[in-house]
Amino acid sequence: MSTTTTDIENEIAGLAGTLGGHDTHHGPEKGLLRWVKTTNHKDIGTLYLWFAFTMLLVGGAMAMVIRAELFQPGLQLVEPQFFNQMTTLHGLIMVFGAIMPAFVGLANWQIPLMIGAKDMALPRMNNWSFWILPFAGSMLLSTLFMKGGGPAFGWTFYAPLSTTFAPQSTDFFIFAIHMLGFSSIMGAINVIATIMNMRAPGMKLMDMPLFVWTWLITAFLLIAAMPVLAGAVTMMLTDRNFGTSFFDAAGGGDPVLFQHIFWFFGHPEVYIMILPAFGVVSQIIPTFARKPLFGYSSMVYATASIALLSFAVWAHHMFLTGMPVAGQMYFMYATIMISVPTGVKVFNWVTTMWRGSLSFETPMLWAIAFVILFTIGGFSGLMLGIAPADIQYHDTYFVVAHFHYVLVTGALFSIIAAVFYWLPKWCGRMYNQKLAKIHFWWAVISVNVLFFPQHFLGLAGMPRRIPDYSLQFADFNMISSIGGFAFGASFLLLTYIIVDCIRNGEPVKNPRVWENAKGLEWTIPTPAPYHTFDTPPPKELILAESSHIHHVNELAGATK
Amino acid sequence: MITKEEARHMSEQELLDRQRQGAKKTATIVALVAFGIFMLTLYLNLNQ
Repeated sequence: MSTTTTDIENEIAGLAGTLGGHDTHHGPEKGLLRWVKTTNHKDIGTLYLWFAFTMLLVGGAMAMVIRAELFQPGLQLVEPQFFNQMTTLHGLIMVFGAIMPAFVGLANWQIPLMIGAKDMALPRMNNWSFWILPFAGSMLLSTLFMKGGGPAFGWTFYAPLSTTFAPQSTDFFIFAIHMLGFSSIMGAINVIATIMNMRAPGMKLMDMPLFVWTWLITAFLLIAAMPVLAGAVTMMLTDRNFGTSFFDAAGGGDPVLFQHIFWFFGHPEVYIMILPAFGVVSQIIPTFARKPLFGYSSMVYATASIALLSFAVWAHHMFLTGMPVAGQMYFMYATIMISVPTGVKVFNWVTTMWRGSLSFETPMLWAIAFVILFTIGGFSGLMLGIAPADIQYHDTYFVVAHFHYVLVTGALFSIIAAVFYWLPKWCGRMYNQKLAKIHFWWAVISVNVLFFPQHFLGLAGMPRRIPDYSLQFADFNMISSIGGFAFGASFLLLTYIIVDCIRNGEPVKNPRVWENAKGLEWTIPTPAPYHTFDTPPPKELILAESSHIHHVNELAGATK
Repeated sequence: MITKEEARHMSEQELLDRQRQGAKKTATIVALVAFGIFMLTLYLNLNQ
């Protein structure tokens, strides 16, 4: 068996030398116009990632305002109306401006490299998808400076708060959501077309790395969910400006209808933000456990099952709207069923690590933190999915704690893990690993100080989205705020680590970067040349690089 | 998917052209599906 492995490794070394290295094209254009006109997937990936990081800092600054106001009971710093604008825009910016674009950035960088494609399938549309974002984001933020202030109805923008009683700026908000949705749909079309049509000849779907699989399924989710959101905001627009009454009870409409439409989009949206995270972690853990991923095909089927189920559980967000008991029972059981494929995934990650030769480089630390903390978020999600229990938890800080464990220690942690994993390949430099580990421990401790006490606040009955609270909630709020400030400050260190890496990091020449990294992206030179895979990678290389998927013996047969 | 065997008889440019042709078809179908879902959302709610 050892001979087989060595043969394959030698073959990879030979083949890798012939790929990607010869950069026959011109390099990138000089100056600022390079970024405006670019159709290169790596450039666009970089743009997405920097945009997402900027929005993360903006949304994070809003979170700091929220935690500062909640540091003590009583109104301290801001007016309640402004506080509501902060909670609303914090949610919208983090979801649509930070997490989603960050994953699209990772997809842009990695998918063509992982499937041996020259670029994304539709490079000009790719450019357009990105450049819509800064305009949409600016439009959303500009609402803060308008008469009556920005949207203050929560990120879920329930009618009639967002229709009858909303400020004038809501029309700008609607336009921004339309643009963000349009960008996401175009991005998803590009991902689907790239994966379905641009794979290197001979690469079967079941040869694809998990990150590519999870993104393919996410793209289908986007295609099915985002038009529903577009429909919801279009109906809001006509209700506000053209005399319709979709959501106005006085005109024969139904405000609860809005909630159904919103959550038919909103629940799949949760999985849009977490499935690519599953993909990232499924790439990182095998590398640092020095073992193939346990249960590759079960991971693929579990991801698809989660995606399908995500369209059948939306009303668990609405148990308190007065739905029939039979409806509550159905949505409760359907919700709990999602824990089965999710459990398969967590089991597979743990089993991949089991008896592996583990090492704890920075990406692995983030991936392990993801597995543990995302599971905590999953468990609290199960609690919320139980209809009778949800009567107690609904609209409390328990919900806030739950979705922050899923989206911060889940989605965001995986993005940070991905950046630390692939950054040396992107820029050809290694970051300061000691500082990165300090940053990890700083962030992971502070994030738990921030969000864990919120479970207790919620169980004790503290409602979400309030600027003031009763005295009995004071202690845990203070602890949570201290954690929040520390977690916020950790991003300054993260910024330094990344900028320092790009400017002064130690050069990395090894294409593989990490000892056991597998996949086509590790066969090209480091840093990744501007143009890659002009010549598609040969089947032997594809098979050898998917040894984290297939068993070594199977590979030996295939390469003969 | 283009098989290894098919690819062997194509030049790099032919391969890329064929991949892009397929990608355009896929993109058109997916875009139409997305537009259909948007219209269906509006239509179903108009008939409430």
